[in-house]
Amino acid sequence: MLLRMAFRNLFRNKRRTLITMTAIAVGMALINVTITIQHGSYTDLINRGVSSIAGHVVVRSPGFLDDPELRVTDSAAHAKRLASVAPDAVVQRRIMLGGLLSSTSGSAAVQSVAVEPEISRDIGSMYDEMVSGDWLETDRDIIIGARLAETLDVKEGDKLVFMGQSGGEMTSRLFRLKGVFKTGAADVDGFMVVMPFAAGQEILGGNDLATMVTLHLDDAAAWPAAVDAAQTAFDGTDVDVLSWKGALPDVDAFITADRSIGQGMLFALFIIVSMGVFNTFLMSVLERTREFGVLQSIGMKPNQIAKLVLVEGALLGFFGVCMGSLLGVGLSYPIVVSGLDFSESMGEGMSNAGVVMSTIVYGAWDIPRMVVFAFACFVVTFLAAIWPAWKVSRLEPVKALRNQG
Amino acid sequence: MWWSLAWRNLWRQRRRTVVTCMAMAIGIAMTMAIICFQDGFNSEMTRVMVDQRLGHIQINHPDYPGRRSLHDVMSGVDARVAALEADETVSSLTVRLNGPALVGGEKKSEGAFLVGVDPTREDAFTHVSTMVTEGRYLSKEASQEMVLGAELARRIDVNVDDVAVVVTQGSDGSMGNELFTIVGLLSTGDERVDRAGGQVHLRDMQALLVLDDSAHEITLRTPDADSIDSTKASISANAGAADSVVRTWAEVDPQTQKMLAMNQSMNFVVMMIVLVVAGIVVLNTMMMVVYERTHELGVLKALGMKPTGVLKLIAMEAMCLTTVSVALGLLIGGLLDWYIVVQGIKFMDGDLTFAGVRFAGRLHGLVDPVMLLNIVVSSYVIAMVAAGWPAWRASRMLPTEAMREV
Amino acid sequence: MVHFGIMVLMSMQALAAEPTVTELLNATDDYARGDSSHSTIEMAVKTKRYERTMKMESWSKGTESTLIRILEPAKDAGITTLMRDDNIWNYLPKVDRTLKVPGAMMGGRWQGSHFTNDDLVKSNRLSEDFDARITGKPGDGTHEMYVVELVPKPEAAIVWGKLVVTVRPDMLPDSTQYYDEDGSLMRTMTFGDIKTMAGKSMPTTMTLTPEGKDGEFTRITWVNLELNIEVPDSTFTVQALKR
Repeated sequence: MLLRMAFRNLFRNKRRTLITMTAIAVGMALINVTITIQHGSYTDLINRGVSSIAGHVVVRSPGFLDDPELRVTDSAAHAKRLASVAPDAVVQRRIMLGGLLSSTSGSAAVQSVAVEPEISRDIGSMYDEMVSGDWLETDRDIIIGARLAETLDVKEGDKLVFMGQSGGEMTSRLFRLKGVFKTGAADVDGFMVVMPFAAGQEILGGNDLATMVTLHLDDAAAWPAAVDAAQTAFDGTDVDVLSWKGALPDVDAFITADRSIGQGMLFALFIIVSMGVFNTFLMSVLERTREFGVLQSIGMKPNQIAKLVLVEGALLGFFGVCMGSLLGVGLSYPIVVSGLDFSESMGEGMSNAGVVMSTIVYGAWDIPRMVVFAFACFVVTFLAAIWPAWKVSRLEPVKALRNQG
Repeated sequence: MWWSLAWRNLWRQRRRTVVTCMAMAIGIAMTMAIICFQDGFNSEMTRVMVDQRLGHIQINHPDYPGRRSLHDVMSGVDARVAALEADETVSSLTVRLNGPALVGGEKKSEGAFLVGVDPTREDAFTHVSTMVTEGRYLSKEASQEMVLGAELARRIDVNVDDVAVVVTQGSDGSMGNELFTIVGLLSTGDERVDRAGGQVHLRDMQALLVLDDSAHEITLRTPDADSIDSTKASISANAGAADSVVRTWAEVDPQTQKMLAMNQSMNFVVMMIVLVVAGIVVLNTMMMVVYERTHELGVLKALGMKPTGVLKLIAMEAMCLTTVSVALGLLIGGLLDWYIVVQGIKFMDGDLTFAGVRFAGRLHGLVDPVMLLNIVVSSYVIAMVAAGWPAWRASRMLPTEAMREV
Repeated sequence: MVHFGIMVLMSMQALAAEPTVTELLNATDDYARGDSSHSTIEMAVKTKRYERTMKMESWSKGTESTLIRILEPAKDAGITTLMRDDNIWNYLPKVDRTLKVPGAMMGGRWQGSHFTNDDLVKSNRLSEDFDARITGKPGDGTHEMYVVELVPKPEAAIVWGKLVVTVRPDMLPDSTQYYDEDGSLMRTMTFGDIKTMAGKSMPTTMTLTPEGKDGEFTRITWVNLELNIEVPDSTFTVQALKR
């Protein structure tokens, strides 16, 4: 019964109810859209970083931070052990190796990444950025950046000799250009080459070396558990086991910094919306003082009246949050599906902390966070009703009837 | 008379007015705080990229942009500098000769971006001597001295007063090699310098590279950042820029320019979001105001007040409300800003490297008066828009109807 | 590699046994080396940006060790380069340091010439990385010299598509042409100025001319040459560089 009364009360002043709900809804919607854009861009950045230069779990040599030339031996065994940690995940091995790439027209200092072609293609990385030619197939294939292809004046099928250095020994190996990629970031396109893992190992001369063995989860959110399991599995071995955060500290730092700005804004919106709701609510309660007086005099207890007010608050909150969620999802839908095109402002490509950022930012719904915020909005609205409800419960019928609560 | 009426009306419902003002004030204060923080970020980026690295205008050999080859230098640099400094539109100038080199200590060596500069001019331009973390900056005269980025020095294991070898490819094909004394370590915020760079005297670099009286870049600053394009035109006519290409910093590094522009628009977006929501709150309040005074407004109209009068009254009440909010908002925001500027906000441990700039984990904000003005004006605009509809409705009410409302 | 069998043609000119491919290639590779050598060399470089002449003293032993010391110009005098196996070290007297050339810098030009660091250490591999066959002989109607065509083995780390080596009838090297896989000539090495040196007749200049770069070249001229003398192994050590 209280519920029905509450409903009716809300509907009596449609305009005010509507505007208050709109305040809640718009505030929530904007919060939703912001979270969606943030989540989308962070997820993208992490995924790109993870797929191109790390993993959700990374196994590498201790001391790597100080000397990127350090590698792990027995990479196959490590790969097997890592795979046992998460059987559904993908494990790949990579070698990073600097060297000289020569064609008949000249040579250039390059950084090469040796990847397992079958595995690496699905994880993303350069496969998605290819503009001509094909992905790696045989041990003699190599893929280079567009700028590099221009500098060395080579096309698909041409010979390229890579000379790498490992432990003082210099080894040269013949490749043929299989394909060209273009990321838009000049330092990647002019500097990076991708070769098959087997070729990389051959250049390094045996010992089953790898720069890193990485685990790539389907469900990115499961990484903490995976890291723990991996650390247990590798306990006692002489390698470092890191999460993507440890492996990509700059990405992590950037996200933290960016996120804190977003938090500030969300906090502000919260406060503003709650103040607005409080205002409205109080107002609506106060102007019904006489009416409450009447209710009291016909026997309704002050507590019940207070409860009525609280229920009204809850309803307002509930519908406002629903509206807000729908509006938020609706507004962010195009961003999730087609993304925001930043190529105007970001130029062709930009690398951030070694990871190439996408110029089209896709939103991603962070459902847990969105639910938490919806709940928080609801709670805040409800809380805004508490003081008015309390005030109502202190009404004296006589005074109230005279509209002097 | 109107104003005092409007003002008094506001305070008839003290609590409501106070709460509404608080909502708007908090919106303004938070916007100020967020923008202050973001501006701190922006200004650091601008300082490192534009003030230090790019300057406002750069003059180079015509083939230099794009290839940045060692050989694409401007000759007769001393004469050029004299001609340019005579120009009034140039407020400061620095000359740079780039020499990628192998820099080595006793045991380790690494590739580095070394730049030959005129220490006096360079210091006046970038205040680099204030960024020396150990030791001192270069002497005025060429004396085989070098300052290195602190991180580079650490990696090759050298310290102040150590001697380092510098090996470069000379322009005549020879192998330039010299010993330099490290007199200081740098921490400039520019990653390229701190991590892998250093500076030597221009004359020393010219000798190493066998490029007498030459430089890759003449970088200028103009007194007025808004007139860069027009200054570019007048500089191009200067003798110092003969047979060279003159570019603004935005042309030299469009990516940085785009990023800074994007950050600016983000400020605007944040402001709009927060203020719009605050505006809805104001709308709500004004609607309540109008509603509960329907009777009274009806009376006023019956007594002869014109519709425009009612409109004006409501509008003025909104103005008063906004003014109080803005005042309060500026106060709270001012306090927040003060904290952010002076104490800074520690948003992470360690440093953040982004787009070539090193930001300390504790970022200090910056207050931009223009932005403040923007916020204030926008607040008024939004408040007026929010009050507009209720005010209009109030003015259109028929007195008789109004008076029937109780 | 086994094409010398073809060469056994009953030709009227073949009074001596026809040279084998290996012999022809060795003529180009080793004419100035012997088991060991000591020489004085002049190098002239002309590029579109600069011209340079240098005077150097050089020692070699076997095919894998070479030491070169710059004598002139005065600015660079004393700079010594040691090449052993695939590695290069440079000693710089002015700063008294020895620097090993890292892999990434192997593409760099040696002392501003058209020879890359890589070229210097790789110069003696013709017979190892290529399949060679003789495509012309003096007096066969079309040729005045021996022509050997070299195609890199499928897995050899060579960028070229084809090399054509011409050798004079008197077994002195004439030229080596470098082609890419599309058949375009990329650069040419010509041997000239035949004189008597170290007790035999040999070309005293070696000129590398890149194709398509007007007027650019690097020319090496032997001023003095002693072959098969005593050169201690210790000459070719990093420590010895400082001498």
